Amino acid sequence: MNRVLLAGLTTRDSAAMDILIGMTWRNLECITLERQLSKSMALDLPEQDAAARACQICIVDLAGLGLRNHSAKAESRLLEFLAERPALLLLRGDGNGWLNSKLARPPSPLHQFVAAPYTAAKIRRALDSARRAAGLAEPSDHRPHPEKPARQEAVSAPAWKRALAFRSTRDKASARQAPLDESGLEPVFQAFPELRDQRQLRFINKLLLSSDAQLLKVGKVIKILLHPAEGWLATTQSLTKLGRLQNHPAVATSVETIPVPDSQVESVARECYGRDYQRLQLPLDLAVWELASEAISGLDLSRYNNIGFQLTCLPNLAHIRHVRPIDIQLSVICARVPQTIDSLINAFDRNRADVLRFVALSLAAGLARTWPASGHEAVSSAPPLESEPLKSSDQHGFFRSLLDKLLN
Amino acid sequence: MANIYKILFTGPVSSGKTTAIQSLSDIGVVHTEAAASDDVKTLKPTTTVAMDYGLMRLNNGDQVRLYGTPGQKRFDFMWDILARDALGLVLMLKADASSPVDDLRTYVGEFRELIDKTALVVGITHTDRATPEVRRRVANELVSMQLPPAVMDTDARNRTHVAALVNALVYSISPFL
Repeated sequence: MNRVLLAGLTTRDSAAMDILIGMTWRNLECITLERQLSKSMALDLPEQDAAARACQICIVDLAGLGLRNHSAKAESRLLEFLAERPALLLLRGDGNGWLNSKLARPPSPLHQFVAAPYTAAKIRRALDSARRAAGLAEPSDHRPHPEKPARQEAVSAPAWKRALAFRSTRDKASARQAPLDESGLEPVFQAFPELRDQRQLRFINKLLLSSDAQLLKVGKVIKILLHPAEGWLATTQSLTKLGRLQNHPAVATSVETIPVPDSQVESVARECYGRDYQRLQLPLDLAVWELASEAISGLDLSRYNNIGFQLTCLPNLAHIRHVRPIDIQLSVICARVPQTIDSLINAFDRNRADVLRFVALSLAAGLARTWPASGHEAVSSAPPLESEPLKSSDQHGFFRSLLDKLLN
Repeated sequence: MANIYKILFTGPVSSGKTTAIQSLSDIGVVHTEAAASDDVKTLKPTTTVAMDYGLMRLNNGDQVRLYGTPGQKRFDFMWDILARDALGLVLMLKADASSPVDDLRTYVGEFRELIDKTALVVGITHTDRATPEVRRRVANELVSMQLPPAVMDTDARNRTHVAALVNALVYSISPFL
């Protein structure tokens, strides 16, 4: 496994860079050094531990290292820090003298200056050069299209599939971790202990604890056939009505639960709902997502235990009510790369509540495998600051316009 | 200057490719259909022989061309042509097909190069005629093929559903918009 050192970046930039690199290259892993303050409380070069020194490539934010302005001394300190490793040097504005330094002229893959706001494509291209300079490049990766250079940025999107998390060291590390207890809503309760006392979730949990089929009778009219092992429930009630039902204080005690042997599931379904019972089947994860969404609506999820997780299936986004663009964004990211709650919050620090809600619902719906957060993820934390990561460009404008169009 | 991008829709016969394109397109979909003359006839009376074509005009002046591949294998020479320069691939699978997972393997195999360069999302259609398990099975198979489990149930007639698919495709390509 090859490693990229992230130093001097804000928490958000580090987390975003970590995810971007994880989604793009299978053999690259990020090690993050937190920003460091000197005795005079100014940003300073951080100490490198053995893991940091072992990285083959560096991505450094010059301002975050206390090297915003170029000087002979700053250049010397930077070179000492980089120790002849290829580096992406992130800077702002006109570069405060760095773009006229010996490091910038002539341009070299060893020291590539990338001015903010930087795009994902710009970072990928620069990192590709750095990988080649470090002797790490794989020729088949991230190949520009030979015929249509004008569209190169879009067409040459990286071979991220090869970077899927289960092939990465991080994933292997997570796979070695004993999974959390994944019965019922236990992963949700492990991550959000205060939800253990939430009445509706307790009710949902009770339904999910058995993998055997069961018929739930609420009063004389409502019958819900549940088959957790096959991932569906059948009911004549809408999810809205079920949501209202679970809110009723008496429901948990008034439900009659009748086990249904597998051999009788079909006959019970026909008896309850008629021959076309299949049209009343709902994916269980969708139903649980909606019911849990109703249950946690308005609750403060900010007290959580950090856990690791990765989606094994996207939420059924087209069918979920009130799905938001960030739900889709988080789904895609969490399906590709193992995450922790902390790492997601770092990357989406302005959407903290949305992230926590998404995690809680994904766990509730049984869409993720989970494991205790290890020390590995803790390296990706540093003090938050101001910059806008991976933003702006023609491609960014295009994707934004496309998303706007899709949402309207 | 305005850029033109391309998104490719593929999948078996009557999986909803043409309908999905119609759901998003700003223009009437340009069909190149013909009367089906083989066993496809039992599924639908006409089928796409060269391609379907729709268009999205974006506020920034860019355009997205939506291409649908022909469903029948004997027209698969068109697949390579249509795949060139595509931004990503939307694969539509019928939940009530004899084996949606086999269909998945076939299409991923055919478009693997494009998928590796760009991104793939899978929409499962006709879900009212099959068990809800299909989505899980397809997700598991995607993972076993070392692809992200980017799959959701989709009604190709529903613009919101198809938009969610393309939305996921966009975030697969550029996760931090």
